[in-house]
Amino acid sequence: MKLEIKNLSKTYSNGVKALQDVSLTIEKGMFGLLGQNGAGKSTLMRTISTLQDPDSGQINFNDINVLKKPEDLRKVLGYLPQEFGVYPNVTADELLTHIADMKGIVNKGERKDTVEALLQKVNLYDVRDKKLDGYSGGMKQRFGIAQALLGNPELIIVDEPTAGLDPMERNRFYNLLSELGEDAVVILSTHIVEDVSTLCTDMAIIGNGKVMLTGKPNEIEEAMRGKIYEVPIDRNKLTEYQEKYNVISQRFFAGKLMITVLADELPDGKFDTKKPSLEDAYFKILSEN
Amino acid sequence: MKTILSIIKNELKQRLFSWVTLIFFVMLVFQMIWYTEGSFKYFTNEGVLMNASSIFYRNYAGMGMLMIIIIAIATGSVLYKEIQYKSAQWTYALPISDKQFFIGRFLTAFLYLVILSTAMIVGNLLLPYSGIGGANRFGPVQWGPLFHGWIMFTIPNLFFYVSIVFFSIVFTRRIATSYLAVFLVVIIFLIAQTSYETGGGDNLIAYILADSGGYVSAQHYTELLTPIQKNTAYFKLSGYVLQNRLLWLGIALLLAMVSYFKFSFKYFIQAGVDKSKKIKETKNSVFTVPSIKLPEAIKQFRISDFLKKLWSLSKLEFMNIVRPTSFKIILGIILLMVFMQNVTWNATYYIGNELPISSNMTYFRMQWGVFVNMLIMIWAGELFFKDKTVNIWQITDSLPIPMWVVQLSRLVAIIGLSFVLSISFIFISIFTQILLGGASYIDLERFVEDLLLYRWAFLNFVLWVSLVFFVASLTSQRILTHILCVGFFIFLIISYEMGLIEDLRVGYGFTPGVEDYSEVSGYGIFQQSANWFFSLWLALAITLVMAGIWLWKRGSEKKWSNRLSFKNIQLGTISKFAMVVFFGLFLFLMSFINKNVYDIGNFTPEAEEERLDAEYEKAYKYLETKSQPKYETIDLALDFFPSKRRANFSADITLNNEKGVDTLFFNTKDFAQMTTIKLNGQELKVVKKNEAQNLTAYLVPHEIQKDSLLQLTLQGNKQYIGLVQSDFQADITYKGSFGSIQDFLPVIGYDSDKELQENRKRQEQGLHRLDSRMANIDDSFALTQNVFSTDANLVKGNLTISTESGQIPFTAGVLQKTETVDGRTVAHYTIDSPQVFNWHLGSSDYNVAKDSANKVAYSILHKPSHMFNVALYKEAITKGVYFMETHFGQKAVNNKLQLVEIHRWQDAKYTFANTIALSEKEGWVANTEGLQEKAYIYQTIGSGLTSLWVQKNVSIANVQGADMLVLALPEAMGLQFVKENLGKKAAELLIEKKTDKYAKDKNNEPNTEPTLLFSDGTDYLEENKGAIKLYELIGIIGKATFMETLKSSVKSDKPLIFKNLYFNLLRQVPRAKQKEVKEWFETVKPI
Repeated sequence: MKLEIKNLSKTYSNGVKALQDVSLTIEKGMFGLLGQNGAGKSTLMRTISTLQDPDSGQINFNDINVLKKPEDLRKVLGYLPQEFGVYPNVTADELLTHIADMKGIVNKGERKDTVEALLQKVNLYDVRDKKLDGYSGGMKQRFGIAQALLGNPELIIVDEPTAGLDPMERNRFYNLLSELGEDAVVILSTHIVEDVSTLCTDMAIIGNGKVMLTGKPNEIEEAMRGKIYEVPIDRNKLTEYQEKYNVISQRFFAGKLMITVLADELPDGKFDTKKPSLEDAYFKILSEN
Repeated sequence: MKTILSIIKNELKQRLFSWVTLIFFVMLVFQMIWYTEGSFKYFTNEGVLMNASSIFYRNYAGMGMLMIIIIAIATGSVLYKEIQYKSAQWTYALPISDKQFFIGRFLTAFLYLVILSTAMIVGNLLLPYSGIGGANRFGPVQWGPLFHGWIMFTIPNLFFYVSIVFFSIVFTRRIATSYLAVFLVVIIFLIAQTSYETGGGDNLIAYILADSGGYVSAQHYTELLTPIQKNTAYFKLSGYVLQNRLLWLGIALLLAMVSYFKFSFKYFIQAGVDKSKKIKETKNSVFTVPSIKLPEAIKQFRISDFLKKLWSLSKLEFMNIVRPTSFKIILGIILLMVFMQNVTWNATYYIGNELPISSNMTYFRMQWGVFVNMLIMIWAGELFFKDKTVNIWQITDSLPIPMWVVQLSRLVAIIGLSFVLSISFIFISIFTQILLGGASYIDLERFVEDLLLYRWAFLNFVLWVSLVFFVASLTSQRILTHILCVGFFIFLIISYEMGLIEDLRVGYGFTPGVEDYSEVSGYGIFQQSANWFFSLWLALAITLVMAGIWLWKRGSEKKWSNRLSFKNIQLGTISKFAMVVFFGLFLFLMSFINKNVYDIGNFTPEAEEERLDAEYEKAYKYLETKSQPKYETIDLALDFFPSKRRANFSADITLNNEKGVDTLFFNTKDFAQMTTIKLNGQELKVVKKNEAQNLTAYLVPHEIQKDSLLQLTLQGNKQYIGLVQSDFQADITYKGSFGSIQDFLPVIGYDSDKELQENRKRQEQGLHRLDSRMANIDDSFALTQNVFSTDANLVKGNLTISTESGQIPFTAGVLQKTETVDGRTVAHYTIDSPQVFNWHLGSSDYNVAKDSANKVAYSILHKPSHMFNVALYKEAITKGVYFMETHFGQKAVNNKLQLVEIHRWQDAKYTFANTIALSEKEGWVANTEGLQEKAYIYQTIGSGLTSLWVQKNVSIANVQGADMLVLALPEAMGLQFVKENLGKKAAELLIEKKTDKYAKDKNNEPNTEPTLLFSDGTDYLEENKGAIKLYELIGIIGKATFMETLKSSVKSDKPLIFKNLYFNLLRQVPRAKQKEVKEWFETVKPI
């Protein structure tokens, strides 16, 4: 089971280069695609999901040429878009049953069993007969993943699934997503580093439509061990520090500005060595670009 | 105040200085010019100018569809844009009060539209330079009305629209409802306007008040203006115009105020949020991952599965439309309105109430069909874009289901909806018919044909929905689809209505003869044409649907090259092939229709017809005074073959050749041809032939040129071929054929019927203007002509008419016998004593009722199911015969008489040699329980019998005033007959009708209204004002004196001129009354 993306490029009519020669190979398991807003993640997700045409490039999933045979990919695809709505006046049960039918589950009994199982899995069984337009953001998102999982897809794409969720709901969602990578290629697109570090075994960082880094999260973190330092400073000294050190990120902590610096050795005694995180790697890439 | 001004300034700045506004402005300028051209056609009078003030007023009131569309798309967003673009959270937190904000935005929207509407003024000013008319069509700019009309109509209308848009948005917090509100206002206007035009004045004030724009009031107002007033007058803000303005301004103010008080930031920011629907998860639903294994499910993607899905999805989508309460409410309202229309209006005609026959119960579709069609189009657009609207498209578009299944299911659902609506219309119409007492004459076929086929019914809805499907696919934008489709639809409706477009080839979904159902003749020849036209549009619709599936943008950012690629498999290869085949079929049908309608079917646009008529007059006017032989006796055998659209005829004709001629000029009608033409047994040589004008000149052999009588032998036929667009071909139609004898036999010499009568058209064609449409009373040549026919004086003869089995033929004269020969019905008629030559003939599946009245044997030929008023006609004939004999003397009525029901496609009434032919709408289906309707039937018989007497006893010269004798005199005697038999009140009811008709039509006089004394054959004058004044004159001088004077006046050998009769009558008028009577007849003073 493998998704191969080769030299994918897309430029919108307003001149924005959303994808620039993107190439990725994604194996079975949870793959994180990390990038800022506007980096091109959703364009890539929609292109893989057959919703958008690239200007050039190729996408293959197993032996399916996605761009030439989109209808074949759709048979094995589960897609949760970044933002989606639902039909008003329709219940979760009704809409899932409808989508199951569309996904080719023609046997009524099987369809019913599948929908029930999924509703339980995403913990919406108790509210299955309620109209979807009354669902909270988190419930809708769980409904979204349920519909994506219908028909046992081999390729699952979840685009920014945790955006806008409160911490509790996000945790719930992580729990749910963590099961997915066992039997399918799962692409998790997100701008939240925690999503990738929590869930993914492989990842890529994308920025300005280009792939900037690929690898395993722990290896990426490990590669930075002993090179990341941080120090609290006065905010008016930031420029001074930036000129002197390679500041890759900054954040406020307890009212103080905390800067993170990339260096081969401890810059000076005021700095503390920091255990590298994926976020540091991400910021490093961003600062380099 | 400062804040409000600041809001207005900023908002206007953003909106005004944009390309879109400039484009709107330019388009509005052009629209005004285009509309003016259409409005101008309504004002037939030669003196009315293109920049007449009344045209300004009408245009300002109507504003045009473009303005309405601009209002719909530009107004709502002024208030809603913060919600739309999600900037309300911070904008509404600014230090301004919500009321100031509302007023600022309201005034912005209003001022923006007001500024845009100045394009209408600019358009009006540019008219003389636009090229739509010559310099003589324009007068000085009427600066006052140019602005007065704008202030009186456009500005209040814009205020109303802004109010209703803001009201609907404030109260629903949805912008879509503002589109719906504007749409509903337009629909109500269309219904009011169409009802006003077709329904007459019975509910006039209701139609005027129902139209929020005041267009109907402006239309009615202008109809009552004289040409000079039309050009220059200011509309008075009084009466119904004032009522209309006040009503809608009041409603607008109310809506604006209610919206003002309702609007608040706190309230409005909740747009789209309905907390009452929010579902709270129970505490025990804290999420854990239940290790639930999903069951194995087999996925299948076979074509049979897709077909099943198509069906189940169609059902699902259909149920989603019809299940909500809102749908049931809309359906209920529509059905209630249809019911009301059928009860209150559909069953009325000029004469009054009609019986609830089925064809009356389906006529509502002419207004409602248009409305329902638009509603369905919008429904369809919403459904096709349903996934995009609710933003689920990314999920649904990535599902493994072919596009054709999803989109076709929606199309099927909408078609199902259309069917349900159409069936509901049938049920409500039948229910109404039963309720009104028409249960025994329910005609199911009528309901099916009118409400389920393509005359603004179910199949039209299907065609237009198919177009929406295609446009939706092409644009991928919901609102744009609505605008394009509804805009195109309204554009076509208005263009045909205003006569801006005539050709049905460009009228997607339009078929010929939609409004032309006849109880006697059905849709006649239109049926066949309409089938072909519908097939044409159906082939295109199928192509559009297939192309729609092929091009539907699945997902976003799809390249056109990919969408258009043959490799795009949204439409399968076989289907692509089928699409090409259907498009080929469309082209083939278009070519077929081109050939059959416009080529061999002889369809000629109005402008071309006018050009040809003018050309005829220019080329052959000299023939008018050139001696030509006249019909003297005619032995005619004519065989109708209605099913073959053919009639064969042979005639032995004696021509009076007193003056001796060397050349015979024959004018024949289209499709009629003579195969044999012999004069005194000799074949004639053609010396001139003008095929475009159907005129042929034959050389009369030298040796017989001086013979006083010539024996003409004619053989020929009339064979209609091809299809029609607007020509009824009523003289040979499948059932109910009725035409003049000269639809078959040639008109000899100059055919003055071809002359253009309207001075404006004459001038456009380079002809001199007419001072009078008839010759002056001292025109020595015209005085020798009989008014009924220029190529005959009094004629007698034998007429044998045959027709196909199942039909009965009839013609002028006395029926001698009817027989069946070789399965055909043959009727032998004779005209022993010479009669005026205005004979007609026809054939239909008549029922014949025979009876006699004081030795007058009469037959009534009527449609078998139209038994309703036969007894009343008998009663009227019996009393009519008595009336005639009492007043005109014994034998005032020939001892053989026939009354015939004919279709409604030609004139309302014909009288000729022993025959009165009445249109089906003239009483055959009237509800005669009321006095007015009964009186009308009496009046038609009374005037018909008098007309026959006039034709037989009065020689009328072809000069001014002739129609006072031909029409006004019989009509006046008809009124007298009603008065004597049904009472004065009954006559007054009819006089009221005639007065209204005169008042309305006189202002549409194309030339100059003549006095009754010099009347020249206009439609509205003699039959209405002329009849009333003669009737009143009878009242003044007394019946006996009138009759005595009339009889003594007709005794002269010379043809009678009305002027002579008038002065004879005037001498009988008491001196005190003479001035008044003179005013009636010698001036154009209105009644």
